[in-house]
Amino acid sequence: MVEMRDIWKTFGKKEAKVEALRGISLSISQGEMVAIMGKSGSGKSTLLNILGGMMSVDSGEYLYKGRQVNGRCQKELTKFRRDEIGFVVQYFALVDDLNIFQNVALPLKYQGYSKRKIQEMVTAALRELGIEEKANAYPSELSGGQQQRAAIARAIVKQPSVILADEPTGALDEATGDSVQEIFHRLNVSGKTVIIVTHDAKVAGNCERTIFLKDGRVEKMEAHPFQKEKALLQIGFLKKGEEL
Amino acid sequence: MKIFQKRIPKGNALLFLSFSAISLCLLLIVSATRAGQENSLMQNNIYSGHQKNFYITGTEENGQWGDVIPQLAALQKDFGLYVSVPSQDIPIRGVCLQGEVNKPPMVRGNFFDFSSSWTDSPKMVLGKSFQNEVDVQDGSQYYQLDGVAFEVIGIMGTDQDSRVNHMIFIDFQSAVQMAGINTDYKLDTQDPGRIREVGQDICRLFGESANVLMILGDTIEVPLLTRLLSSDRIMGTMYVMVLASFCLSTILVTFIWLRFRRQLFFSMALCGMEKHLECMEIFRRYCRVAGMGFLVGLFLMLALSGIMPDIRMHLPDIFLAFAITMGLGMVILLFCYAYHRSKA
Repeated sequence: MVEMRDIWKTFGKKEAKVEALRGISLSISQGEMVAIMGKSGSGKSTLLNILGGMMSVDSGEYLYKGRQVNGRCQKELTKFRRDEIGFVVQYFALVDDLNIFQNVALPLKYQGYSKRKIQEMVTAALRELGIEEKANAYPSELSGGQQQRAAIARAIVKQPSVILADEPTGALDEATGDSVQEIFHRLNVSGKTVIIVTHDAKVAGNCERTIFLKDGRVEKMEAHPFQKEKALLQIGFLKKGEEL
Repeated sequence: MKIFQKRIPKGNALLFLSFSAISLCLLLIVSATRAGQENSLMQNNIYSGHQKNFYITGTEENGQWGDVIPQLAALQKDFGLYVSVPSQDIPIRGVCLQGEVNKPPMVRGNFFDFSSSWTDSPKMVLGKSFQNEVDVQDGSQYYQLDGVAFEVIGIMGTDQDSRVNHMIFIDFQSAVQMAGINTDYKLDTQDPGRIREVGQDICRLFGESANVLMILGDTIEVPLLTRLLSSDRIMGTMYVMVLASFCLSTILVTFIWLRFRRQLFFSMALCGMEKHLECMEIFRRYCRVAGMGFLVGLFLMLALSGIMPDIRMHLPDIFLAFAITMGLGMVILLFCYAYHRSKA
């Protein structure tokens, strides 16, 4: 589904030049749940931004569903992001003066949906995340976990194929982080490809695969399919003796 | 901060207060400028204050103006010629206008322009005290003066009783017919610096055919600062200063407002909102706050005009203040938004 070949990305010029990505190559299959780990400055967030079409690449090839993403103009990248990607970030990025309903409806605004359709889609997303009753509340009136659920609801309201999450549990306590992680597993089981950038080995351990980055390069990849089954057993998606 | 269960975003209160204050200032100044202009006109008998008297003697042909006016109009774009018509009880003045020379406040219709003030068909602008004496024929209004039916093209007047309410202006040719060419006239211009040149042109165009006695004097060069702070210009100077401070403070407030909208920009980018839609959303939000600020400024102004009868609001003043406030606001937002985007 996602294929990257020899991706390079540089910031700054001359002496201030920083090579954030130095020849990254990877592939991610549809329905996979992948963690990207690495120290600060290893290029995780840059990679995620490129995957989501927020940034262009300097060189290399990025294919999504077999179609080239690199080389697309800003307008096409925006369309790609709007149609295919759902973003979740560490500090939720909810708009303070919009209530939860309006925040979740933001990706649908000006897209030609009727009010009724928007109501249906937003309500469905909020219900899926278990915060339907918080629709009229403002972000500041919610707990961190509820805010992150709202942010996830906004990411999935248009039913994207891929969820990109940048440290989604970084601003949450352990118990809330676990519940958010559970949501990603549910989304993954429903067929979405989930890519999580994290520092947390526990979060990464529950994914099918972890890609380790170091100095802008892929250091190693670890697959741990049984961990995912374990996680799904924990959240009740699988019963003992069942297989994925 | 929440009002009516709706959360007020950071920066909006600042923007709102800024636009309210600026709108109130602009409305006050527009109103004061208009009042000042009207007072000045009233005090100067609907002249600018720098008008010049001149006399024509020694000719019996009333039609001589017929040669002079078209040539003068071709040479000069800013002049007003006035002639008083002898009348027992009504002040009647003949007028020939070219350009934007002082015009009295109108109740309805239009004041004279060149084509209506220099015409063969008698035309008139009446003070509002005569408006009930107007006859209507074939959709046009007429007023009888010395047995001549004048077409009424406008009614002038002020809310309070003033001389202009009881005056009559008629077209120049009719006035010369009634007063005779050998009489005294007044020459006026919008720009005080032009009056000498226009006067010289009139003398030259009459040439030997009539004695034109006109004392023009020397043009006195007034220093710029004195001119800007003179009593008749001070409101205009203040107007410009308020606009300048409006621009600077609005630029600052708009930058602050945009900084507070960073989360919105980021969220819209995450959601894949296209640039033109993002721009539309920002303008929509800005206009809403600026418009509400203007309405509050207008409300305060109306309240003030209710308390203080000297402050009077006219619809064109409100439109002018609205156009300036919102127009400049939009230009400033466009500039700040473009700068903000380039730095994002």
